[in-house]
Amino acid sequence: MNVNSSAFERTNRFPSFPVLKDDQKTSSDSIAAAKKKDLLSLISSKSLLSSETLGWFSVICAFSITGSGLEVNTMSIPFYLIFGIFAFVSFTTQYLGIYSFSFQPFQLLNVIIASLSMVFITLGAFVLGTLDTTCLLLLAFKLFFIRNDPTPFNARSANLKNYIAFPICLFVINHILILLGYFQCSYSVFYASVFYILLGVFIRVFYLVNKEKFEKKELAFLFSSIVVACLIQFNVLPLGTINLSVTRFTILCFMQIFCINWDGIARIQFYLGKFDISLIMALISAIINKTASQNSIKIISCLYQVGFCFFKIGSSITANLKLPDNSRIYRLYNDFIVNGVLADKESRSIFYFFLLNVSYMFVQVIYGLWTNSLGLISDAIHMAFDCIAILVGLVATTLAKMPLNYAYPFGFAKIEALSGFTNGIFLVLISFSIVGEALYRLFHPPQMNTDQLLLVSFLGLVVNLVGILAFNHGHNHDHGSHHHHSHSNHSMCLPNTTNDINIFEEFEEEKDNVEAQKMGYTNDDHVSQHEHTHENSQEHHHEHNHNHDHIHKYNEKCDHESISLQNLDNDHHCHHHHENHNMHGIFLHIIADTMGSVGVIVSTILIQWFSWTGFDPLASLIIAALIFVSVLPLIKDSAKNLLSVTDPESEYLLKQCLSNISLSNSVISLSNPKFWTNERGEVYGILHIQVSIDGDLNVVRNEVFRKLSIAVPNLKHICIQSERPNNCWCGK
Amino acid sequence: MTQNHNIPTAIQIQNPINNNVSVTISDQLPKPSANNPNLLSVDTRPTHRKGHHHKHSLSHQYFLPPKNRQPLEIPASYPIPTFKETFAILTFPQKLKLTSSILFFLVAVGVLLSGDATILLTLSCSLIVEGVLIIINVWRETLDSFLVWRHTCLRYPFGMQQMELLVDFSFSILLIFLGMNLLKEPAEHAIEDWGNLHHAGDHEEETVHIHLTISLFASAIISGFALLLDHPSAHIRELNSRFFHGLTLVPSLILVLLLSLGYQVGSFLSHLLSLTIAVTALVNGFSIAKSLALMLLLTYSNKEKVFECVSLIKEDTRIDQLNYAAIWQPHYNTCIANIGLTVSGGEREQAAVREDIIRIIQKTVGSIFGAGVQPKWEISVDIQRA
Repeated sequence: MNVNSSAFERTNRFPSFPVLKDDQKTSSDSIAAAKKKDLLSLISSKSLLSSETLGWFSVICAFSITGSGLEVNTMSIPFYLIFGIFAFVSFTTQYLGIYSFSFQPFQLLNVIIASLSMVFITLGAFVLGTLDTTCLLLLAFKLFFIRNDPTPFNARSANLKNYIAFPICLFVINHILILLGYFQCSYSVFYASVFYILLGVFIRVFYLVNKEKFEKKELAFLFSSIVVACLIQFNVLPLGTINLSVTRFTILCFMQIFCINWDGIARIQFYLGKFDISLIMALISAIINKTASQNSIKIISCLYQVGFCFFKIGSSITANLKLPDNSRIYRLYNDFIVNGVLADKESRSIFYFFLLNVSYMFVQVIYGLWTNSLGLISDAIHMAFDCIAILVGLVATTLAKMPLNYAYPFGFAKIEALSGFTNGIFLVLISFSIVGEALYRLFHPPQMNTDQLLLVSFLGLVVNLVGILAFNHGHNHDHGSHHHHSHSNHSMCLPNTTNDINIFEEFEEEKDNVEAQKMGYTNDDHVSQHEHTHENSQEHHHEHNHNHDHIHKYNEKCDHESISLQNLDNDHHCHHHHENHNMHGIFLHIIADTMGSVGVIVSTILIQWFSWTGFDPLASLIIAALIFVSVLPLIKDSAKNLLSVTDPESEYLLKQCLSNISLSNSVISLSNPKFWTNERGEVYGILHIQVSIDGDLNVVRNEVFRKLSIAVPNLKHICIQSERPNNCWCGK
Repeated sequence: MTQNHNIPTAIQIQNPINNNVSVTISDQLPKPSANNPNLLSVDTRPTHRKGHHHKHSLSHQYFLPPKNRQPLEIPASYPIPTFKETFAILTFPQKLKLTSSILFFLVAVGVLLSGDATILLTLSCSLIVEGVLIIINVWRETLDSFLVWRHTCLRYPFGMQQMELLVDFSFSILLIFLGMNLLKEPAEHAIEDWGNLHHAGDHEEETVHIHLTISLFASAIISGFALLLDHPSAHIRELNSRFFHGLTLVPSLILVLLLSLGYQVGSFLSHLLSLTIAVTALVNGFSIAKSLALMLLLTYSNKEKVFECVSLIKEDTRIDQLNYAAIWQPHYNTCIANIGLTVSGGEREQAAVREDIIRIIQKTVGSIFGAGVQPKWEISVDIQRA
């Protein structure tokens, strides 16, 4: 979520606060020292786990649960209990220094202030919704600082309009809704909740600004707020007792831990045009949220509000992340997500797809719990497995870019093949388990309720289709130019053993071509080059469902292979095959899921037509077979990549060169020749040379090195040990 | 160690005869070359020529150019065994083992169908794991007798033995997969209970009681036999097949005992057992997969020791520059250390440096495995003169 919002650029219209600046100056040195010392403070200030971000998120989450229908068992909580819980939590966190603004000293006053403000904000937010609360927080904060500004309405009047206009709009809307009777709330409670939120923010802000020199004014303010709290407790003011659901209260309590010392309020930004579509949507969602009777609509509007608050209003939180000197965590975050995943077009789209998948999974879980359907929940668990697979792939993508060091002498290049292999084996196992389950169901047909099944599988299909679309874009782009060379290389060098692999490569390539044409990416030159050979197959595929393409293409490829081999030019240069097995694995995973949902849809429709329940296991069997067949090439290819072997061309060159070297002067013998090719076609090697007494060790070593590097152009690195005979473990 | 005594040698590749026995490094520390009596063959030894001072004597040319040197003959590739060949050399016990794996699968199906408890699913999964493990072990033993498996050739520099890693890695993925599936079941049940879903309250009466007992008994017996007859290969520490046999044997014995005492299968204890098995499978699978993945990525399993070793090498003052250092493990039986150095001294000093480096490697990374069959260390030191 954070990552997405980093796209929003920080527009620094935020007024500069002289008081805050002074504060920072005086304590900047000590803060820097504390930062370097304390990893915990780093976590809480500069990472995704910062109290700020978590605080924001938790407040929003807790508010958005209001009226979502999760609350079945409610319990009435008196004011003193809420205050007590928050006081306890804030005391513990501040005392221990976890998830608090930990550069501040532990003071009893701080605890009281934090708990008071949290209680007020919670009370207010209980009545109002997410959006209203956030906007009120913002408004209160801005108003406070505009009060300090000498020329408030000249310099930033444009921004001020936004700051004020939007909350006032919400205020008016709420008024109208109460008037019309949609918003079940009396005026006194409404005004009281607005007042509480403002009060909570003001306490916090006073405390933030002048924490060192407490003037009488601030103390008076604090005292008055305590009085207000007492008044609430004795039911003079409304909301002395609130009916919270147990679930929600637990979540609230848990989440207050993170934001108990939340000073993210200082960085709230709000940059909206007046006619921004999202603004209008937010207003509409506020109306819907109050008026809707159905819980599902409420949830949707709440989710929109959460997104709106998080990305539009609070986006500066993520924009404020800056790279400190030795922040390991931030570097990790930067490496993995910003440089690793988001840098590459392909992995970026997959990352977004991953986010989509995760959010769909959560929606499924929530909806499944709400509607008490086991089918939805088990589908969500299945989704979770997919998410894990995609996550593994993404991690592999980022790891593959890591630099090599002494512990990883050859880098992480093979990790993509490893991830592809893992995904492939997983898919094989999944297909086996599908077969087992289908056989079981064939003989023990269960009673099925098909009412929700269609909707769920259709949504899953849509999500996965989005994934395939996101994928194809990068897939094509990445693989466009490599296939041609790799082909000629393999087929020329070792025709008898790698033919089967060639078939699959060809199949892959063709699939790319077909999809490229479907998608309209015809700029790759090799697409046009191959066009004439595959024309009929392409026509064939257009008639078919996308999911059936695999098997057809695979079968047809056997006929096409001979043609395509002839068609290749005589490019002998050693451009080694570099297919991204990792991406291939993820792609197959998504394809398998898509096939699964298509199978469910088709079988459900067939069952409703023919009322024979055997269609469901039959579809499962077909899907399992398809998955199995499409995964085999991936496993074969990635396994071949994982083994350290010499490719045939280099092997030939090496054999020539080594026999040449063994004939040269003052070389008695060679031993322990080990050469292997990595996935980029670079050759690594080890060689021991036994040098006779007339030869100098270093001269011979350099000579051998020169000969080898001339003979084998792809030689990346070789370790040559020149030694006198009978001196080494190698036995010569 | 083979020593060719005639100078025009046909250079052959090393033919490791006793590859199974690891060669400890201390035996093979290079002796100082000056004192080596077997350095060259007898005819050309300068000491034998003392006193020959005739100007045209041929023996002045100590190092005759070899007349007909044969070029290098390196086996490009050993024949890769086909399925038929592999099957042909199976011994009787191996065939018996393969047959027993089929039995395992059958019993697994029987256990699965014999009741409706989670523990039965778990037991059948662990029976499948056992069967797969037996097949893998037979396959490993059989291929071990082929040349291409262990011997170095140009095409397969580390032998086909690396295949073993891939197969074991797949096995670990199987473990993870089964473990996750087994955890999925109770998770679903838990969510079901938590959300107060309409729970199917009808308790199926154990009409198949006898069937259940028989299948549990069968699973206990066959995994017990497998446990008795199994000789796990010593060099694979993580994949101890006895452990997996025990994983089935103990719960099924407990269940048989419980049944004979008249308890129901779907009790709390059986849930606990199945959870334990699932978590064990997951943890084991992850640890195996991690160590094998490190090997497949061409690294050494202990990062800290590698860094320690490199820093120790860097401390040596005779070394001008450490060009590269690659310490890694291609498969179970071999570890490789390639060190590239720039040394300014002469040959004697280079030899000393090499000796020291071998000692450092032996001391730091080489000693990790302790007792048991150790992987063979192949250390190469590439010394360049400054």
